[in-house]
Amino acid sequence: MAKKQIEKKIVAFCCENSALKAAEALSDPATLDAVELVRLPCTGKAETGLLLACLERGHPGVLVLGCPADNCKFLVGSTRANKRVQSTRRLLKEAGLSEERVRMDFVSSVDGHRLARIVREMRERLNAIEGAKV
Amino acid sequence: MSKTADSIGVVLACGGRFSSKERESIAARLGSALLIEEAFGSPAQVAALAARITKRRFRRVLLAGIAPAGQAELLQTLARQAHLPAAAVGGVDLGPALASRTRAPGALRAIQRGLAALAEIPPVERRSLALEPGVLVVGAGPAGREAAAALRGLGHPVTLVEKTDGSAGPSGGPQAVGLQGAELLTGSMVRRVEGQVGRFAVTVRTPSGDRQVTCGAVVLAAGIPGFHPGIPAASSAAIAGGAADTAAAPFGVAGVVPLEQLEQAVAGLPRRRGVRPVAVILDWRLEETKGSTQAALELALRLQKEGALQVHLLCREVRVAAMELEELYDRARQAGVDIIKFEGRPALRSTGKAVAVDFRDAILGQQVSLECELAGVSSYGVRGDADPELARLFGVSLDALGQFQLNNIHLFPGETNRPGVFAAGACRGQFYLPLIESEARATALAVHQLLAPGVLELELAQPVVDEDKCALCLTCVRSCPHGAMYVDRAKGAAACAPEACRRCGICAAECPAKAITLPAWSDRAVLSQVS
Repeated sequence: MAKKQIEKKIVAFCCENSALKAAEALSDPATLDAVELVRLPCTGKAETGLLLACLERGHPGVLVLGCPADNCKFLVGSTRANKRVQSTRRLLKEAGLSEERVRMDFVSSVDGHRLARIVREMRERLNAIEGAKV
Repeated sequence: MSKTADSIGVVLACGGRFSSKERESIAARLGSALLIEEAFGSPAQVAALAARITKRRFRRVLLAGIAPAGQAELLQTLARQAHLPAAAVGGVDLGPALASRTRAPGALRAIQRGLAALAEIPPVERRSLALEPGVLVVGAGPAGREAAAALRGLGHPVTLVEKTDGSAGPSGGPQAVGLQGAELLTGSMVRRVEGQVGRFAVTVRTPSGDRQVTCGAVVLAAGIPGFHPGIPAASSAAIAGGAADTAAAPFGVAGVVPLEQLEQAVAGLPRRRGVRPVAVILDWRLEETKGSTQAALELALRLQKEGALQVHLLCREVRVAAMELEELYDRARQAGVDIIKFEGRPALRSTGKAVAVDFRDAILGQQVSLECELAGVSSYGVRGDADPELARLFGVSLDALGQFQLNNIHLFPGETNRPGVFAAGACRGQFYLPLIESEARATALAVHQLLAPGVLELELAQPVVDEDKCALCLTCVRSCPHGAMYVDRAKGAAACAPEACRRCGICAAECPAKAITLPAWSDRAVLSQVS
C-alpha cells in the first residue's frame, strides 16, 4: 500500500530571544511554510548532535537562527553556535554530503523579512542539491 | 490517565470550537487535569487562569489551542503570573485537528504529544539565597572612591583595595576624599577569588599579610595604567592612556609631532611676525573619547589665546556630549579656534617650510589643503589596557578594546559578564572625569539594587552534571559566559552555581562527554518539537 510520503520540512532552530520573535511577528505566516520552528533558549544550545539528528530523521536541511553578534542575551551564545555549525558543515563535507544542508544565520527580533529571505534562499539551495525537494 | 496528566494542567483554550460531546470525550480522557477556558487573551483572563493554576498547584501547564503567532509572549506572561518557570508552560496548536475530519481524537493526540513534551521538563524547585552584606571595591581612584562613598551612603559595608600606598598619586590619593567609613587597604592586591554573586570570598594580599574578604558584590574600578583623569590636560599623553600607539602617524615628516608635544614644539618655533597656523588633528588612530576631546580642546584654546597662533582643530566628529564639554567647545570657537570636520584621514606632507594637511572637508565636500607650521596628531589609542590579571581573577571578559565591559546590548552600564561583578571608570572605557564619577554612582546604585533585598530568589533550573560522565576537561568552565561553572572538588566533577547561571545551555552543548543537561531543554525535549 503506497501511503503518500509526507515531505519533511527544513528544521529551523530559533533562539527564543530573536529569530522566534521575528517569526511570530511575520504578518504572513505562510512565508515560513517550508520550515518547522524549534525553540531554543539560545542557539548556543544547538549542538552538533541535534543538527545531525534532524538530517537523520529525513529533514532536508537545518537552519540555526541566532542573534547578531554583540546582541546575544548570553553574550557569546550565537558566536559559539556559529563555530559549531561551521564544524558540522565540515563534518558533512567529509562524509560526502552537501555542507549546504546545515546553515547558521543571524536574525534580530525585528528582522522578519530577513528571516523570510533566509528561508527562501535555504529552500533554493536545497532544491539545487539532488534529492532534496522542499 | 497517567501520572503525567495529574501534575500537568491542560487548558483547552478553544473550548468553544468543540461541541459539548467532543469536549466531554476530551475531558474524560484528561481527567482532573483539564481546566476549560472558552476564550483566552485579555490580561484579566490570563491573570484569572494564573490564579487557578496556582490554586490547583500545577507545576506544568499545557495551553491547547493557542495560535502559534504571539504564543511565546502569552506563555511567558502566564508562566510569570503563575510563578512557574517559563519552560513549564507549553502550548499546542489544535488548528490542524479542528480542520480534520476526526476532530476530538486528533485534538487529543495533539494534546498528548504536548503533554509528552512537557513531561520531559522536570518540576523546578525554588530556593532563597541569603546575600552576604558588603562590597569589595578594587581601585581607589576617582571611580572607586566615588562608588565606595555612594555605597557607604546607601548603608553597605565597603572594603576598598588600592594597589599603591595611597599617599599621593596624580589624582590626590585615596585619602583626599572622605570615604565615609569604608575600610581602605592600601598597598594591597587581589590574589584569589572564589564563590559567586552574593557570596564572593576574595583573598587580598596586604602589606601585613593575606586578608579574607567576604562580600556580596564587587566593583572593579582599577583604571588603566598611565591614565589619571584628575590632572589637567597639560599632559595629554596621560589622557592617551599610557603606551601611546602612534605607529600610523607620519612623525617622520618635519613639523608633525604627537599632540602632547605640540606646546613644546610651538615654544621652539623661531620668532617671526604674523599669525602662524597650527593644526591639531584628532581621530587619527581611534575615535577620540570625551576625555581626550576635552584635553585637545583645552590645548587648542590655550594655544589660540597666545595670540600669535591660528589653531585649526581637525576631527571627524567633535565629541561634546556633556555640558562642560559643550561650553569648552563654545569657548574655543569664540577664542577663534577653527574647527574643521574631515572625512577619512588627512594626508600630511612637508612643503619644505611648512606641513601641508590634505583632507576632504566633510561640510564643503571638497578636497582642501591647509598649510601649517606645525601639526599635532592625537596619539589616542587606548587598547588592552585594563588589568588582564584582574580580569582573569574575577572571570570578567574584555571587550575588543581590552576594557572590562563587553559591547553587548544586554549588559546595562557597569555590568560585566559575571553576575555580581561590576566595573566603573577608565577600566570600562570612560575617560571623562565628570562622567566617571556619575557612572560610579550609578554602578553603586546597581549594586544596591542587587544587595538591598538581602536574598536572591533562585529557580533551580540550572544544568545538571552527570558526575560519572564528567571527565573534568573544563570545557564548560571555559565556555560559560557568566562564570557559573566550577569544579566541585568533593564530587570530582564540574558543577553549576544556580545564582550565576542564566540557563543558556552553552555548557550542555559544548560538553564533549555529553555529561551536562539543561533540564528544561534536554535533547529529547528539543527534538520533541520536530515532527
